[in-house]
Amino acid sequence: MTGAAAWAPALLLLAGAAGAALPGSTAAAAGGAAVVRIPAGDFAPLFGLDKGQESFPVASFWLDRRPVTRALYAAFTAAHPEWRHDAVNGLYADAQYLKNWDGDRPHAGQEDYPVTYVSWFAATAYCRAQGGRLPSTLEWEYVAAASRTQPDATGDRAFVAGILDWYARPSRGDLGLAPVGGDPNFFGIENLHGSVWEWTSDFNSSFITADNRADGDRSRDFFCGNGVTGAARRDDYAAFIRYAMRSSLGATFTLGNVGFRCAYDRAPAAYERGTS
Amino acid sequence: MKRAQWNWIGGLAALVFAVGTTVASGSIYQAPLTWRTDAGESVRLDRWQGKPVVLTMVFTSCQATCPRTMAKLGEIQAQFDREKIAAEFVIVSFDPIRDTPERLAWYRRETNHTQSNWTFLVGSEEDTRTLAMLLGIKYSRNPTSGDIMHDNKIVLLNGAGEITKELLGLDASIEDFR
Repeated sequence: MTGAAAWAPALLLLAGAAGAALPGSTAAAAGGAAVVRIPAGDFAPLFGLDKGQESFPVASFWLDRRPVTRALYAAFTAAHPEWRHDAVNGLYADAQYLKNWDGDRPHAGQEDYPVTYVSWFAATAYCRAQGGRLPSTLEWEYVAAASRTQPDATGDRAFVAGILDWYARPSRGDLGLAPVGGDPNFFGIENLHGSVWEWTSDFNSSFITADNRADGDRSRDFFCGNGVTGAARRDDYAAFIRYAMRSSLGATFTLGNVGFRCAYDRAPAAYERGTS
Repeated sequence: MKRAQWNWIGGLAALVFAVGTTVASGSIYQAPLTWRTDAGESVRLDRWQGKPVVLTMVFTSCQATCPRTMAKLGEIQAQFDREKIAAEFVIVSFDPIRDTPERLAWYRRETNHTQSNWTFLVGSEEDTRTLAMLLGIKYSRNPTSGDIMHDNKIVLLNGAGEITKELLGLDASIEDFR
């Protein structure tokens, strides 16, 4: 990450969330806008950099402040009945799709939980219906590298240890979940760690099967124990676990601990409304 | 760190077990994806409904593995010719940015695949990603260099558009691929 100046917009947004009236930032109702503008910057992801590359540029984009909730997803399935639990095409989701719902609705009291048991196809369709898309893995990791106080805290052992602590806990499905919200990071984004794993547009693209490359250097960069020695930041085991987890998924898989949030290339309508 | 290490290995185990289980079940012709051919026509994949289809993804500026994938398709065509199997060969680009229909037409000539049952396609980024997800093909573009890392996978669709065979990797045997 370079240049303190690049972070000024994010700081302004934080000020917005804290209640200062800012032109162009819709600090809405309780807790701020539903969608946050993420400033452009440079980021070195754990995987994907070629030799001689130190970082990738990340263009500015907009990101849901919180994971998509079950109530929001229920509004989507009501408007798009082909995504109802009893109508979804098997091409797009496995048999567990929305299995933790009470028919067409989330269980009472779980409306504000992050939606889970949704496939990549379902998440993609939801975001498209909002005028958005899933964030790329690069975008997601860029935002998720931020602690409360730093834009890139991947070198902060306490921050990484806190994430690893969550990964080390067994998933207890809905028992381990709570309504979304709380603990905004440097960008004002909430629940990136400690709630659910999240789909990204290119979730499975980092570990490419070994026998597909003529280039031996690539397999050193991408595989097994060598993965970490070839990786950009050797101490970021938390990121390594995320990449491994994502690569184990298929696009139709639905799991009790995988949800999503949407990204947008321009200010979405939800942002103008100021609420979700 | 001990518990974290356990998770680390768990992640890798999940990775290994998931290989080969990520293709779609059901007809991929249900997906409303649109493409342009190397002749500039707009098509959907279900144009080839009713025939077996050999389907793969490459990109034309690929130096390393794509020529070998194309050679493999040629071997499959030769095997089909010997066994008198009529199939369509459909090659979809990973690279909507650089692979125009004109570029695909050049690639078709360059790789000597001018048979009428071979078609080269390019679509939008979104449809390309969706097709790759349906086929269980992983790829990523280096945002700076534009290079694309990808699985080398060839699938066989039956007349209904269901995936019946997959060849993953350049060394896979084509013996049972029919």
